[in-house]
Amino acid sequence: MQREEDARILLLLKDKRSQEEGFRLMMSLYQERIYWHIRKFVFDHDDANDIVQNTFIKAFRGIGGFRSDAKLYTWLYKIASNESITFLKKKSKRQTDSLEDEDGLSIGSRLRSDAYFDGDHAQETLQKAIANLPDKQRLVFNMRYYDELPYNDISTVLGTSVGALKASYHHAVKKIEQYVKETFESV
Amino acid sequence: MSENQHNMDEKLPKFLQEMKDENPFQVPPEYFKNLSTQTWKRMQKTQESRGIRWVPDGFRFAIRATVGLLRPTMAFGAIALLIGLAILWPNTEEFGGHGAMLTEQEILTYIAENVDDFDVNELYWAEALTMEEVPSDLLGDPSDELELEPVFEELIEDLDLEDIL
Repeated sequence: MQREEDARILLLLKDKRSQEEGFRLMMSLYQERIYWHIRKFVFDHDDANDIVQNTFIKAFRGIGGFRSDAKLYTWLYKIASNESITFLKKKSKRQTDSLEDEDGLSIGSRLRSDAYFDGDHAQETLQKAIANLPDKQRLVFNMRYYDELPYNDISTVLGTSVGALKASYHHAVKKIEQYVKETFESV
Repeated sequence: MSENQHNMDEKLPKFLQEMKDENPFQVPPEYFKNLSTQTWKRMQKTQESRGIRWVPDGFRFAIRATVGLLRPTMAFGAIALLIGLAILWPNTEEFGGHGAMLTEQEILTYIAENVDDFDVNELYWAEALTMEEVPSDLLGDPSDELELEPVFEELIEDLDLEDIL
């Protein structure tokens, strides 16, 4: 079913007269998955909104380079992941340059002050634990834990072997477990 | 899949299993409904600002192809032009390095300061614009030239052609 929809999107995007329809169809099918993937990586809604739009614009402009035998959503995940990492690196550099420290706030404070975050203390702790992971490990954890992507697809997105991804996920789970344990023990 | 890998993948701590389906993040109302329209508009806007719409695809391809073909020729031409300029560029060293930039005032100041080093006769010659303006006492006796002629002829006769060449 997904293959048929992907084929239809590609067909619509090829013709200039139906490009807008193809673009809207692509977004209606994948925008939520891609948005949540980005949001759980960057946390902030405004940042995620900016990145998700960039992701679809880049996908539209680069559709000529998409291999039709691949899955459209893995390609979108790939663009979204790259965009998110690039965004965070730029943001981190800006903050270093301007001597700011994450807008002067820790991830916990940012989440508590975020109008679009509705988690309890346990959720806040989990998000803090995830935020402490290295970028790539965080992507692996999110794609496996939240999005339940098969390892083969994560491998396509990140260009890493399945074995390495499994090890990375395992380590991420252990680190999160340790962080949560320490946090609750110290309370 | 090996047993070890299977265990690594599937064994989640209890709290992670329980929290898996919770989503603590929210979005503004109607966010996903308007997202594709917002994104499409944003793309149109960036395309307009880039000026892409002003050039039809066919022309764009023709321009790219032409530039692609001309690029090596243009690079070669630019190198030739730079070499030509380097050869033909006026050499200010011939004027003592600063000659081209000296003002009249600077020249006069220099002469005033170093006048003792100049032959007065040379200064007269420099001031004169034509032979008529040169004072006759500086020109000497024209008969002196005639007396020198035989001496020169003798000297020339003594020279071998090989020495001259």
